[in-house]
Amino acid sequence: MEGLNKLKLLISKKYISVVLFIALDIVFLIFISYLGYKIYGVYSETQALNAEIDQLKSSSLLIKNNKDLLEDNIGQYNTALDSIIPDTETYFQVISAFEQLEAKTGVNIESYSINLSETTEDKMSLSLTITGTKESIETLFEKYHYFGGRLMTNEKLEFTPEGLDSMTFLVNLYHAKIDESAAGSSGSNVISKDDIELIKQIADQL
Amino acid sequence: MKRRINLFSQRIDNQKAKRYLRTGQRVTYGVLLFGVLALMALFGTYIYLSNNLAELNTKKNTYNRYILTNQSFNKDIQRFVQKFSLLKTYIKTDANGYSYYRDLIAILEPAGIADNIDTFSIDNNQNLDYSIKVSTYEEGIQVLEFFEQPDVLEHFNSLTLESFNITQNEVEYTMTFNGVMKSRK
Repeated sequence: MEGLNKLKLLISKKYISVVLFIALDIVFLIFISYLGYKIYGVYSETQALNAEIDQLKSSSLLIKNNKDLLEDNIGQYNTALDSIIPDTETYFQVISAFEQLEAKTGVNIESYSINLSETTEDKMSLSLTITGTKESIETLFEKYHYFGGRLMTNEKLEFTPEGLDSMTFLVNLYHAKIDESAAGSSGSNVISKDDIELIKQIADQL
Repeated sequence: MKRRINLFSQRIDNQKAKRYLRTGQRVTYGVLLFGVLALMALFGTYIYLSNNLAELNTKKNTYNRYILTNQSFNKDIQRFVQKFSLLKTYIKTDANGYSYYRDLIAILEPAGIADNIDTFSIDNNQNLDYSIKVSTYEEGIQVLEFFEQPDVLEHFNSLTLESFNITQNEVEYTMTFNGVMKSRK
């Protein structure tokens, strides 16, 4: 008898409305979860797209900011830059650079050795034993940066002015491969006229 | 045997059930209201983000078209910027030593001791070591007095006399200085 009463209550109007509301709540909650998931997807996509757009914007600005100044001669400038900082390093390139340095400055490079402790992935550090006249060695001191057809740097200059006919000269040669996939990471730099002037001066010395 | 029905107890059970029912109703209404509001908010957010995404896609396509139009120049300028940036980085490690040597010569010239430099060394942080050789004690004192002058010292960030040596056989006085020259970078 008691069970029968409860059953009657269960199927009474009020109970049915509550059950319906619960069902509706469940449907709503499922829909909310689904929409939340979709929003998260769109948000993630937006974030990724924003990062991509930032890179594209940088590339576009780089083009826009420099097109007028560089468009006509950029090939020549790149050739000069590729000569002084080639993508790879070979033994013959190093020999050729020293021969060119000798020819242009008048010094004799008697021997050279690689400073392994100073040599890195993109830098080859060498000690050159040099002989020559005082004038030729002074020319070397002034022009070594580009006269070998390569970028050469000297991190420490050490000499005895009176005995300037033979000395050890330290040079670093560089090479670096350009990362083609890093387009957009170069920023939106504006190349100045001074930069172009520098490249022209370098090209003249090669 | 008589059978008795407890009507009062039945009433209590019904009242309890009704109380639960009312609470249940309130909770389901509340959840539903929250659901409707949350759904509206989420739907609005979804529409906003979808529109934003569409705008970003348009923007991306515009940039892509521009870059594609200038594809060749883009490749060249990327190469130029990367290599030029490397050039500037590498050249910064150069000591540019000979120009600092000439600066030192110019500093010493008023004292007439430019030709007396015995050794010279400078690195890419302008850390400088040099020695000056003179043949008399008086000249040595003059050199020291020269390097105490403010207008001479202003060319250096720091300068100290490391040693003052006398070579007995040849009667030579060698003063060794070290310090830091002011950078021209």
